[in-house]
Amino acid sequence: MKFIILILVSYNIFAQNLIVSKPYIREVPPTSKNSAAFMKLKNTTDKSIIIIGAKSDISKAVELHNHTLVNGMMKMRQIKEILVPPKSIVELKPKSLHVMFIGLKDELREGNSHKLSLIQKNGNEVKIIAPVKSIKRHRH
Amino acid sequence: MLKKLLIYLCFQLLFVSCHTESGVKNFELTTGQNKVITLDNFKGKVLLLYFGFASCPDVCPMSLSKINSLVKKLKPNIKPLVQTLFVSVDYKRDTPEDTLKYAKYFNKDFLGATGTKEQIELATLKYGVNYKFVELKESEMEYTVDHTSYLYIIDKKGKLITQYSSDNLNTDTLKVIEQLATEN
Repeated sequence: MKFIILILVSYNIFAQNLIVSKPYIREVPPTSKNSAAFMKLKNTTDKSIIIIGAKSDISKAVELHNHTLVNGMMKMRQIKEILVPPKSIVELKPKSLHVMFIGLKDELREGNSHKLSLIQKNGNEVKIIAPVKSIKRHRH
Repeated sequence: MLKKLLIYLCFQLLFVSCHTESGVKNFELTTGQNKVITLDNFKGKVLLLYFGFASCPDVCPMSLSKINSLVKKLKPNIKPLVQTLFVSVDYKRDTPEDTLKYAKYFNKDFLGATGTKEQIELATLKYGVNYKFVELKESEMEYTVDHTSYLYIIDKKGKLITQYSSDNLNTDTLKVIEQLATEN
């Protein structure tokens, strides 16, 4: 019995090493084949957590991207990883870090939710269900 | 270096030749159903001009959404005197039809247009828009478009009056638009 409790507690700690909150996917115009997901990532551990990718069935490809403003130009680039330092929160937000969906298979509509997984460098996956939000009503 | 200088001089010549009158910077673009539009089409209205691209998932939707919020605040008698035009600089990927649909997603009264490489180069040069195609070697996107993000406000006669960063659209912007709309 103690063994089972220990396993459950361990699993819980393991699953909670990275807490994802307020995830959402942006609704985009029907002609647009790309979208983005935003969320907060909280590292509850004493070690850095590195996100090296993401997976979802809603698009042909899912990548990690970042936006920067350089000399008045908005520049979006693919990045290899997102580092979440120990005991820290990193926010994926508009005009900054985001999960990028490229080649959407279907239109994204507010009211729907979609599965998304974040892949950590250590091989762990964090599964998320993210609602679609329209920018027309929700400005972030 | 010499090549860059020659390109610059060519643009300057085009720039000067397309000024139809003082401060007026004409352009020619294509909107849905392959309809050609020029600055002249908007004379008599205050034109709100924004340059971006239609596969942009973040900056352009945010900017167009902010522009929509702004025009929604216009007084009812002013609204018909103001037109928003979204111009896609991604002439490689965006069709006029798609650009129009993209713009109308944010507001049914918005217009969208794009053009040939030459037309886009000319239009962006006139308003001081910077954009650059950048290859993304390991991305499925293949390329992205770096671009400035400003709202250009053009009076009823086609003259560029001012520009605002899309992050800085506020009550002052609204006042400028309403003032220009009430001028003859």
